[in-house]
Amino acid sequence: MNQNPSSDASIYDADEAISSTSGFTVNSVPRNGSAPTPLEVLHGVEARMGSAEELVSRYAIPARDAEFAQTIPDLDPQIIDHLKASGTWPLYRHQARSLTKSLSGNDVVIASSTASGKTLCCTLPVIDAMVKEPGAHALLLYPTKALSQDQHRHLRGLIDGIGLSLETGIYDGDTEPTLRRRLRRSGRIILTNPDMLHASVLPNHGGWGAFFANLRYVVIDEVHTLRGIFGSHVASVLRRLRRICQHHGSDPTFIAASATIQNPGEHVSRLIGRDVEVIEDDGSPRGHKEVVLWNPPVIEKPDGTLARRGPTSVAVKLLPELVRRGLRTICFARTRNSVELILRYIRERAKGARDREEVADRIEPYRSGYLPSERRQTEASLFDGQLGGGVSTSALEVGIDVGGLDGCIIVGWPGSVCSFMQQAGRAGRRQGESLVFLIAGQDPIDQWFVRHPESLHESSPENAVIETDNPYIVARHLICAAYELPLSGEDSDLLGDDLTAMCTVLQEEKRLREEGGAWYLAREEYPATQVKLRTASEENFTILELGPENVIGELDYVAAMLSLYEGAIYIHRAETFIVEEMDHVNCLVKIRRTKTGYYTQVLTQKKVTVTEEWSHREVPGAGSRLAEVEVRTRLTGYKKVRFHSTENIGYGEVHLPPLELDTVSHEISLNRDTVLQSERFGTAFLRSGMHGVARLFRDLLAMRAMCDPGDIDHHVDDNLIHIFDLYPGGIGYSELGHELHLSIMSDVLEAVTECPCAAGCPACVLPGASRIESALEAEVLEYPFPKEATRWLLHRLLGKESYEPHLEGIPAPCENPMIPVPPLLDERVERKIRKVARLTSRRGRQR
Amino acid sequence: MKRSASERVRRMIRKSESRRPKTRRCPTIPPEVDEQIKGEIPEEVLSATSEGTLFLDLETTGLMAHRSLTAMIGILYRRNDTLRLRQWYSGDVSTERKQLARLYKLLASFQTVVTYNGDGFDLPFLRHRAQWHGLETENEPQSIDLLPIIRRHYKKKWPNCRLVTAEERLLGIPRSADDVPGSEAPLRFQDLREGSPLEVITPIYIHNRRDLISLVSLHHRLVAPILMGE
Repeated sequence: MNQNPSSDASIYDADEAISSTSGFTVNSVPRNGSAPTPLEVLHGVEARMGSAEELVSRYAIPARDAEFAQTIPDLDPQIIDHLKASGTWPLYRHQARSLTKSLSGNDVVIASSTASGKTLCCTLPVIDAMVKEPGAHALLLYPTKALSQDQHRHLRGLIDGIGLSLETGIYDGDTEPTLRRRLRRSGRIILTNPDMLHASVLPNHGGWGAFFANLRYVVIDEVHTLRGIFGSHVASVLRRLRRICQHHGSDPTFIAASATIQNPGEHVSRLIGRDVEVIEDDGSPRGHKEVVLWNPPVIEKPDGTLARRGPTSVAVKLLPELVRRGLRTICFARTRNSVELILRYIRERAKGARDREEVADRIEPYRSGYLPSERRQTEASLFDGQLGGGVSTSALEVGIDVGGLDGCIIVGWPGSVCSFMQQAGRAGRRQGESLVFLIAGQDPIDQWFVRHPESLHESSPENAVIETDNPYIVARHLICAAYELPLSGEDSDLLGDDLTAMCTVLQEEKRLREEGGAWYLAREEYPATQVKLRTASEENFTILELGPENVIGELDYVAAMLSLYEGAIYIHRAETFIVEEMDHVNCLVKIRRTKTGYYTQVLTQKKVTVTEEWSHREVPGAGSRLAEVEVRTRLTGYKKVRFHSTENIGYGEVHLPPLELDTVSHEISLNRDTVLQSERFGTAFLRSGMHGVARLFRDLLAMRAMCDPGDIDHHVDDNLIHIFDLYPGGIGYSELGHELHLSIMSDVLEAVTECPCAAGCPACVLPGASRIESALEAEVLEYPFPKEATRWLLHRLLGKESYEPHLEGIPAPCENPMIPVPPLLDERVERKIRKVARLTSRRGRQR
Repeated sequence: MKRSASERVRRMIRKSESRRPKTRRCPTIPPEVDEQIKGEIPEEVLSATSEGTLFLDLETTGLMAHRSLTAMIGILYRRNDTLRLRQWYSGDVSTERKQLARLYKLLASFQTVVTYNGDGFDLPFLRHRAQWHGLETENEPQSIDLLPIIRRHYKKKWPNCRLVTAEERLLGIPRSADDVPGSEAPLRFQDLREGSPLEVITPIYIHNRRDLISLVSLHHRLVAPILMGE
């Protein structure tokens, strides 16, 4: 362990100096003189808890002084007076630059770290416009409802502080009809989300009085979350917004705020459809931060086998320890269940000792599934320092201001560099030090970081990718736009050069009708309801506790399906409940408090079934086909897992309809010869190779399609690799994969060959840094030579001469030789057989 | 646009179409009314009415301009000794545009437009719809709204100031028993669009015609004396 370079006193002095001049939004809880500093705590923790083996690496992000603005932006004196009075003066350099740009009507994106004062960059120009122009209006977009709530409180604080009387409000699905009417008539600043803008505000633009005619600013917060299919939809919605503004005679200035991503400028200019200025040089001060990578120890199990302990085991000791020593700490877990487990274990460990119990009582959980009011309260008490610590899913990663924290524990690699930086950014104050712990999990990607700790701070954040010309998305929004105002050729400036061509197609399909140079809807309808911006269902299950008959939470559809089924143990705030009844009609789950020694985990099985083949062709070593598929995730049952030991103590059945997705898939079916050839290396060899190819093909296809890798999924079974769009009805990515099969395949080979690693790494064949893959996949990838297997398979799939894998004398275990699947039947025959099969199966296809 | 892209969009649309329940066919648009009315109005009223005055009454599918259509535009004006009544129906947005364009072209040749509550409803509604279609709305004639005049004089004396009441009290003409109230128009237009036979809106046509003719007499009764008095 290297000596920490910055523990000398001079750094502290500098930090103190900064803290006296800038109070900013950081809510500083004064530490009393006797309490240890985070670095002292770290030394103590290292000495007491971790062996050198466990503490893999540590690096420091040095402190940075504030850079204040040299020039004063042209804000109204009232606002400047308020900023001075509230201690947020002078402004930081990046804030002043951003404000100056916005005030002179340039579109900007501010991309800087958490708590660098982005909010003021967004709100000050808006308030300034309200003061200077009595008729001005503004629209503020936040990706989630929770965030609008949080930001509205901030905004009201600012407005009331300056002493203005302005009508502002949140306009979303939860808004009361009377308030909605009032906001439409007289709201000056409206906060909403893209979904609401799309489905309710834009289609009824005529009912918004003077709002669109006088719209001065559009603020888009957390733009980095507007990526992938969702982001592409939002891009279309924003073009529709600009068109409505144009119609009413306004041209608002855009202000966007983003977390650190690779391409903020490019991303936002694609999103809004015109160039933006990027403000990146963060001038906010930053305290010293230590990042520690911690690998849990390998222990011997009772049966004599060796296994690495899970990351939770470290977290349950570390979090109370940090809180006890006075560091306000947030702990990020990957799943809702781990949040509950960590909390539960902490509470269990504390039992019996009063001082420990006190500490445990100052730690609260935070995840989706709790009541909104509870969540608000946790946010507030974390912010004002009442809570010593929190355990959260990535829900607290975005936006919501919980103040500066001293510590952050990340349990398992969060899936992307972006996420890691956001979570780590939660710890850190303007003054003083902070600690970040990344506790490695057992997944290959986690362990890879353990072997290459330098990658942790060298990796750059991912690109945010959207598609602005995806015909599937654009066509849907053209129909919505035609409802709002008739479409004409002039709109192609905003809606794309293909407008006329697309409208013609839509006309032939009887969705639009051309008359006098303009396109109208061909029939009466409200098209916005048919277009969902996100794939996640908005349906929520309400969780009712029987006995006291209290509603204790709510959970979205997919999450509910995976964690609430009859017999399931649901953990809520560390207490166990058994699910008694699942009422799908009313979306109600009835649970009862019970004490168990186990929790449950649902077992799922993914199955991809071809419903209609679109095209098929032979490629080397395999067949490539494009087909409509049904991806069914069947819940096959659940297992009971004992707390702590995680051993299986039983199984149960689940009777639930499968989760279904009708989409389009690119299918690579390895031919008989390829399968037979692989047999001499063993089944695991081929499976490992197929996973390697599938994962890389997916990522490289995403790169070709310029889409977010999270919008494509892959699945491997038998001799088939399925690469499918994660969007109902498909969105064109897998079609591209089918078209460019060979060319992407050779990209894949190039990526594998050029990767300098020996046996495979997350940059090539291991599950990518961009996503967490399924447990099944990790299992398959325990095969020691994934890279060799992938290379061998790639040579087959490119028709190259056979590659001789270096398996270092490992014998080919061939206990379960894979039976090669018979060659594909003629399509028509196959369909008939399937039909017969379905008709004769007793339950049929009815659900 | 690339051919494959349009092919994909087609496929997507067809797919979503096949999932939609089959909807009824749109009704055929009812014939336009262009009627020469003679003898329904006293001679002196007719001759006192300027040829530059247009009487206007709209029937819409709802009250919110941003969600409703001008389903029918009823207009009436004098040419020599006859009144010309025109009623234009529009069942969808594209026809609406045509009808509105026609109306605004016609409006340009009149000096005044007489309505009942036109300042409160008909004219803003028209303007909103026309702007939605991107039409020019500059050359609107001067508006004479009879409702405020009635209100001023009779608010305290009458139970209400509806057009029907004014007709009865001032002109002494009761409405026929089968007259439908104007508020029923949106429902009837909806019935028509949903496949009811054309007859469902016949009462609306009759009602609209009645309203327009009454406007002429009321205008004579209320506005002409004021103008003469000045």
